[in-house]
Amino acid sequence: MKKVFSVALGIIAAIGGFVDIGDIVFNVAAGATFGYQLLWAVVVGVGGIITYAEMCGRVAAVSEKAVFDVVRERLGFSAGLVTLVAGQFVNLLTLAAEIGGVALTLQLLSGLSYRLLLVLAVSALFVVLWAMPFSWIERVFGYGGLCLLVFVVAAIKLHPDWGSVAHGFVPSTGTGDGVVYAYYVVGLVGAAMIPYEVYFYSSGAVEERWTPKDLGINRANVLIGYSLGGLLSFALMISAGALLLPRGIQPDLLGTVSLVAASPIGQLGLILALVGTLFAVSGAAIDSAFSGAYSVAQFFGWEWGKYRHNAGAPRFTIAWIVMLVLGFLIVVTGVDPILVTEVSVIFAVVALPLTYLPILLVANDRAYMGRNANGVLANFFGGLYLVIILVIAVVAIPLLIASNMGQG
Amino acid sequence: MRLAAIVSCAFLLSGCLVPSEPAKQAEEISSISAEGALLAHGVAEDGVTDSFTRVHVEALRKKLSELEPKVQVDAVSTVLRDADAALALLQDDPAAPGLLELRLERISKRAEELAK
Repeated sequence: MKKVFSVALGIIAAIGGFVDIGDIVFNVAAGATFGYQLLWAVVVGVGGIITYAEMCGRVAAVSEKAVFDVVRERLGFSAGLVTLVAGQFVNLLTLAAEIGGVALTLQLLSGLSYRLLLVLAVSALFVVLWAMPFSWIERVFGYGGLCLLVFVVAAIKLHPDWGSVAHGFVPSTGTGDGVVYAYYVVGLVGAAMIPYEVYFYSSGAVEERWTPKDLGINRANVLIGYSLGGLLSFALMISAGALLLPRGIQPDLLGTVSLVAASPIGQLGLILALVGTLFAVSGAAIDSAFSGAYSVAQFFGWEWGKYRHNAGAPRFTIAWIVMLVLGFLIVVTGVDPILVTEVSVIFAVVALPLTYLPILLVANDRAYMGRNANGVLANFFGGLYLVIILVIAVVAIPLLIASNMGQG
Repeated sequence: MRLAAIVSCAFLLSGCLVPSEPAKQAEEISSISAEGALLAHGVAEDGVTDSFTRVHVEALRKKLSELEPKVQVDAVSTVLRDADAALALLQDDPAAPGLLELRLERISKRAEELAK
């Protein structure tokens, strides 16, 4: 019974924690630009994160090693360092975007000054990172993020053409500007597979002291949690396709996203959308700050982990504080967080192969993983996704420029 | 160094995202006005909070103000000013949000026509 409860809690946290500012921005913008045509790209992205998060959790449970332990071990110091720098760079941009997103959401809720709220947001995140136990962080922000399920209700109440919605799950080349369409495909897959998610997930598995006995929990968490998290992405895209596309509204403000829920539901929809966004984006800020600290501590072999408490792992603690301060310094310059989000997702795509290749190699190594090494199915999907990741990594930056960041 | 380059790149891209072609500018004004109309509808139905309306309208008007210096065509400039005036009313004193909704819808259609 305790195990079932633990699985249920993990799944609920995964649903609420799946969507971050990158998913919100790309799904709503894709829906407003191409309607339901890109739903299949969300399926591809969710399939990718399920495949690799499951491997990361399994490797962590069997070897008690998180992603960057594995990266350093498999790629060696030099190539590992390149991966670390690329990963940290993307983590930092993501963190900056999430901090900006927290302040923007608080502003929409309170009407107070953005800069004041930036300071409040970073201070609150610091207190949570410093004082809250790992399991509480995971669950509080995961449960809070469940308010985003209001977009599922909104999608239904907006009465989309369900035939067109179904058609959107079939991969197609799309109608309209082909370069912009390709840019959104890359952005949607990248937003779903952004590396900090697996850094955090595998480190969390070590924090919670998973053993091979927890492999069932790992599988249930990633399969059910991320699939249902993908449902939120579908809802965001369908709602935007039904409401914004017919009106010719191009959403590049966070407020537009909440308006999508307010329009069919009213004030309750607006409040739930804003509160859900606040929790989801705050949770993602915490995940990305910790991911940065986990990565650097694991790479250099420092003591790490929330379970050691702040004084027990001083360099790890300093690392997340530095991440938080740098993230704050980026957004306080006045740069648009939504713009930083789009740039961070596209640069994350470039870093994807460096993160996921070592995981695939280790998860497939029988000498290392024993009978828990990848089976045929995991290797098939792992290989397939590695090819997809390589292709989108090559085309990401050219598409960013050619599509004028999706503006055409 | 690399981070500085990317943040600069984000700033530069943000400048590039303000359209310079008249058709694209009209399209942008049409989108902003349509969103203003949707928001005015929310105000009329009591579906949004006051602080949300004030902050969101301010963000929409900021987009118009970023666009304004780049607008060279008189007709586009006129429609931009009309949109800004209607949004200012929505922000300061939305006494008749239903009328503002209709006004913003009309402005959006005018801008859409200009974009063609």
